[in-house]
Amino acid sequence: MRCQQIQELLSAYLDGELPPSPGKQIDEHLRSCAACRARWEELRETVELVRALPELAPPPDWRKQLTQKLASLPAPLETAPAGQEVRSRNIVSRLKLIPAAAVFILVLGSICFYLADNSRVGLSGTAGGKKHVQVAGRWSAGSLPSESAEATRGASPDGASGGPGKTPGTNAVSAREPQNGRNGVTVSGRGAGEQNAESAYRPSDGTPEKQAAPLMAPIRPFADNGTGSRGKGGDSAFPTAGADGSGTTAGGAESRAVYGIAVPPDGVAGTLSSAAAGDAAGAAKTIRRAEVTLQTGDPEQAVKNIAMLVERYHGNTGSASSGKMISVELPAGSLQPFLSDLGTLGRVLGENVEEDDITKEYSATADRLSALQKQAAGKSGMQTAGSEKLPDEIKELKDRLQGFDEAVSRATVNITLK
Amino acid sequence: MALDDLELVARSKAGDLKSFEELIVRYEKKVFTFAYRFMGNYADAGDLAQETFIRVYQSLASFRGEGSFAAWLYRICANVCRDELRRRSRRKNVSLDEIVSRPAGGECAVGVFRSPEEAVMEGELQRTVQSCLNDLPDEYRLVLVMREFYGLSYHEIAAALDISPGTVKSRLNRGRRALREKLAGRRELGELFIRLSGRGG
Repeated sequence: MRCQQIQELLSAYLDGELPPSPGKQIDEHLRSCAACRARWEELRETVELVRALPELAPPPDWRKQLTQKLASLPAPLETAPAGQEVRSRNIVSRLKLIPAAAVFILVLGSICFYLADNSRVGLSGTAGGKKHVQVAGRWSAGSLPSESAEATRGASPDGASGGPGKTPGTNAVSAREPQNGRNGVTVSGRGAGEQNAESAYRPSDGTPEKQAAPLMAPIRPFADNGTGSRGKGGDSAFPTAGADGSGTTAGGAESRAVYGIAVPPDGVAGTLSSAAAGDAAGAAKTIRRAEVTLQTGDPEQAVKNIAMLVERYHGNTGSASSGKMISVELPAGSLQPFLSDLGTLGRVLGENVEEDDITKEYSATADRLSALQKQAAGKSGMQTAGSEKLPDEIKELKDRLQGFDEAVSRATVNITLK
Repeated sequence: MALDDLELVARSKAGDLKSFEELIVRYEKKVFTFAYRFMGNYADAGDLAQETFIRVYQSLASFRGEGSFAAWLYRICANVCRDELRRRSRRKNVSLDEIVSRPAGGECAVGVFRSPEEAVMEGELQRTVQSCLNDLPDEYRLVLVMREFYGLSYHEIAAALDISPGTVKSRLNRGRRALREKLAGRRELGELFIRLSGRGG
């Protein structure tokens, strides 16, 4: 192993999270390589400093306040079993609905094909296609005018319309993209089995009871995806997982598999197969973050220049900024052009772009939300007693999804000035 | 003899608040410290630690004792903290003028406030380490705190946050490196590092 690989593994080695074989190699390497040994010592010091931070006790009246709050709540077993039952039933019904979901996605995919073709030739579909055309017509006239999807984004800031049908909606989104001449989401299907299974059953959440929801829902995710893929399309230099996780081994392979689904290879615009339509349920939810070390002659001037750049790309400076560290947030699609422009302000000593895949977290939250919403819908039909805490959790999950969406739509750049 | 956690959980499920209070007594420091290390100030830490126990109490019925109560509690705590920061990060911005006019090497990130008593409770060095922690991106800080304070394994952290162990590994790796860089940037730590490296071998 080369030094760089060794250094990437040191952190896991310190935690005893490496298999014996690379562990032994590292051990031997550290004995002979002074540079890596220095890194190892630095790492240990850093970890020691953090671990040495003391444990703290909460303020004096803290526990009293807490127990008072708890006393006003219903006992855990009074409300919960119903919730659990609903949850486990949902899992079963989800599994049962995999085939149905697959068919639904296929149909959706073909509708989009017709749409794509017919939008160019007018509505002169063949006899066979006519039924589809009608469906499509009603669709775009009513609920989802494709070109104005971005504009609609602002209209549903609380994510309410993206609720139960949110994830299935993503299918429609990806399938529709080529129609707008943007990147199609091409998915290789070689991703981790877990991910595929997830995307296969997810759509069923919204399908059986709320047929309309998947058609209405895409508005927000569409806008988000749109931003992301435009950025990618424009800049083929954007590093993907391969570059990002280059030094990692076992665990790295796992995350790369995730990227296999999530990040469409650049330059394959407009390809769409039925398989892609199916898998695109796992449309990428990646949070991008870049670390840049910039050397400039005049730091003060550099800060002003960066400020101008930030403004140009409609970004803003984040809370973690101080004199020599500037944290910038900007639309995900502007990340690459921003980084290129940043390079013109001085000498780039280091640049590291990282992508964090939160697709799994996202879909898990969306699943839970839709389960709860069904539960809430069921409850309000019969009685409202005992369900006060349900709206809270629903609101919380919505908040969380919204947080995800925003995190995905914004990229962070941490600039260190030297 | 003291009852074990699971017994206390069983009693709490039935609505025995005294048993749940016993669990609070056992874990309040862990939860509070985690929230403090993550949020960087007492007020938030107090609120979120309470929020954690409330959420734990409300979801007791779904705890089936597959893992330890502690791991389950830490998981909820981590998610409470993360949700709060995500909610906040949507609103928090700093004006550009502020950055331009702020002196280089400023003491700590905006949004981190400490009361005088907090200042007394933590030494200079600890404050600096905490302030560097607060400067890290949230996702790095989260895995870092889960690992260094709770001593959770990569798999436990992965399960708690719904991410892959590979992601845990890479976030820890990057988080530690970023923290190291921030610490190295603090002049007041220079001496300490010299002392530490003199001792290491």
